[in-house]
Amino acid sequence: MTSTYWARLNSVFQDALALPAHQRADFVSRTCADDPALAAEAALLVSAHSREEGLMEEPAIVGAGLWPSDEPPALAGRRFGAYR
Amino acid sequence: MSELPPESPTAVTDWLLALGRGDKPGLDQMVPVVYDELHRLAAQYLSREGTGHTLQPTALVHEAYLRLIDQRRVDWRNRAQFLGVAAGIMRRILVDHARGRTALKRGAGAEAVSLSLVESPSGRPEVELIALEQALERLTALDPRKAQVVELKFFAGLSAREIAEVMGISDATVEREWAFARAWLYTAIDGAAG
Repeated sequence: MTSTYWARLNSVFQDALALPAHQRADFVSRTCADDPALAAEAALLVSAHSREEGLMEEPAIVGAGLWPSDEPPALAGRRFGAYR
Repeated sequence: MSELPPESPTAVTDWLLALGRGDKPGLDQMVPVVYDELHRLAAQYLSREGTGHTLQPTALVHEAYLRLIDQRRVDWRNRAQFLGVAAGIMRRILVDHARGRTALKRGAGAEAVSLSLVESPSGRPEVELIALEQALERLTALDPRKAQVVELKFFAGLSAREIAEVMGISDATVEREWAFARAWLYTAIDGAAG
């Protein structure tokens, strides 16, 4: 991946987000008409953004205690104690 | 909390001030102490065994800062530098913790867990940390600044304002980098799992 590609992907993504949601897909395909791979990846990112707005908004530690979920919570402290 | 930090705030503050002057040994001495303190706070948070002192998930690095650093001797730049170091350590602690739990589960004969999205306590889907760490290493190679925003926001729970101070960029840039990084990580993890 070239730095030009990455910079363009970033700017298409940011410009698309500045638009109302219903205009974003059109904007991406128009702006990236010369580069189908870029168009596809930008579209994927824009759709991931609107689909997963709440993802990772809570700090990592909030989810860290429950995975895998069938382990008794008290074990977490003991595992930590065994580290280092 | 009644326990005293293992090192006196004087020593840790000296190391932080040395780091602020570009002294690398200051960092080397500071890291293990900050690691121990964050490790203890994280274990306390995860085991919910607080003695009436309820830690907020966003408060761990701040709590470590308050306990380890003599506030009278430092300025906002030193604080920002501390938070940056602490974020990297939190990332290591939480990813190691996730790896330990996976190994434990596999060792117990349970089937390997391949889910990369899991339910968080709030009921929303949340990314699985080991899959996220792999994707984040790839993002670091492509764009270190975006990866650092993720480390500071997701692993340390810092606000956009604090991240802007740590990185010396604007709040608006933080928000843009975060939006891109999160969407990119999600598609990277989703692609790897599918």
